[in-house]
Amino acid sequence: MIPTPQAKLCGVGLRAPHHHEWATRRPTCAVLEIHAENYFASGGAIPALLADLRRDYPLSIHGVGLGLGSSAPMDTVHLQQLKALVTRYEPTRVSEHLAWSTYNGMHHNDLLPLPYTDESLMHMVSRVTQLQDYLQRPVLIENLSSYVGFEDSTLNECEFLAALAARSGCSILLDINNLYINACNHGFDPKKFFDALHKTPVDEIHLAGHTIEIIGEIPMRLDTHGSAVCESVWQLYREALQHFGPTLTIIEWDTDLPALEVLLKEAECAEKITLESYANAN
Amino acid sequence: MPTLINIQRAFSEVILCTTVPNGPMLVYHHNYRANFRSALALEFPVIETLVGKHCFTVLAQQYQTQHPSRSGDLHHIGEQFSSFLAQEYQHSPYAYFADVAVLEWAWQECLIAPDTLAVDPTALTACASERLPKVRLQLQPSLRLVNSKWPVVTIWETNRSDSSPTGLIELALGAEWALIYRTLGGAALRRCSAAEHAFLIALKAQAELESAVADAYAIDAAFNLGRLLEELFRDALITEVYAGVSPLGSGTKNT
Repeated sequence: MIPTPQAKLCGVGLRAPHHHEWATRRPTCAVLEIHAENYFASGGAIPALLADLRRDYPLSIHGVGLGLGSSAPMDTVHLQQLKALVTRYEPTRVSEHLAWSTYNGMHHNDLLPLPYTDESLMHMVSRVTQLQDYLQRPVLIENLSSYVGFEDSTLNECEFLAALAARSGCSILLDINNLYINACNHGFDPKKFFDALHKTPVDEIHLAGHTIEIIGEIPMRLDTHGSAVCESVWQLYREALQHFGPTLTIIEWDTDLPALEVLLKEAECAEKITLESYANAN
Repeated sequence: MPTLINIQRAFSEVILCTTVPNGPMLVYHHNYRANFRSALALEFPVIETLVGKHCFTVLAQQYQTQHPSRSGDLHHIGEQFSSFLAQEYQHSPYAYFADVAVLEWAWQECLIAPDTLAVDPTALTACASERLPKVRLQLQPSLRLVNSKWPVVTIWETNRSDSSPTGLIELALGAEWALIYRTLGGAALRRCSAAEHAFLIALKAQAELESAVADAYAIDAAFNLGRLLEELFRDALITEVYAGVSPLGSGTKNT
């Protein structure tokens, strides 16, 4: 269904320092995104707050700790906790990453890049299928920001994502900031990414800020989620909307968190671009 | 072509290696330590204040080497931090750090423990007086009890991020006891006496009321049972009252 201009599509990440303000002010927002692992607790004030907010806001539950691409078996306790969360809060979207995170029983608690090979693809298809079967609902898989590539990769990331979506039935969470970072760090044209995904469902978009640091004498863009969305990413977002149409969009901000008002203004900006995109398409 | 598992093994080895890599792998090497440190600092803010940011970073790295994360949920990583600190600072003037960490971890556990409905005092007062000695009281699963031979409650209260340190604390102040319990918005700490602590420890171990009271009186003949029970009911800390001699769970529930 093509959303009408009246249907707001842009939201922000719900983060702990803003909990009180959300609880008391209830600002207008199309959707709240939560990081699943921060709400696994079965009792206490946090689940109570989320249940309260859920009455007024749709939720998008975004997992960051499952490590779907890990060669190690999936953590069944983690899966159970995720399912309990999904069952309790009935989110509009459930998503995870195209990443791995565990090896030999140790969890790196980071989103680590996969080589894009046939073996990895089969592995991810199997894992995403397992996740969807367990949750009994489709999930979205997010493209990753990465700082290294693998010589053994036989596909690029967008080909990998398109094949993953086609074979598993998942849809894509397109992080425009991640795409921009990768395009700069690895040297490719991000618009080709959109072309490669033209038959793939993109059901959510993320926007965030990043920084530039010198790593080994080379300037690299790092996915810090600690600043405003930069103009280049806004521009890429405009172009993404031309390809994929109006799409649920989340502003993510996780470090050096500013006042909630700053996040809401970023969401307003995304909303304005969405409306312009809608007007242009009609 | 290397298999996926071999690529992940090689990647992990670079991340875990104490030698800092050159180039982009530096980012992952750094993230592994920084993410762990940040999560640990959120769970132990007073320890971070006490040791200082730099020292906390060093401690976090040593602790991570000994007790790496095993879960995608970083909320579990602090479980063994107090025992790590106990070993690290044994025979030092800072041996009390471990007990401060016990208190901070108890606070974290209290915040996320399951919710259970409390009973009101009539659950106890309805019980025939001759049966009271054999009554067992079940406490909120979120309730945590803390005791230390050092004044850790004073140290914790003084160094919390939302209060300003108010000068030196004399360790010779001696032992302190406290209970940490769930409130509507989070958690609260209340100091208690050694006798009250012994009484609550006994209740947690599912002792009968007469046995728990005996433990308290053995420490302090002035132990005030009525006042403590009144406070426990007022703060919604009693979730079940069982009468009779049968084990907890199969007795007569007075609710």
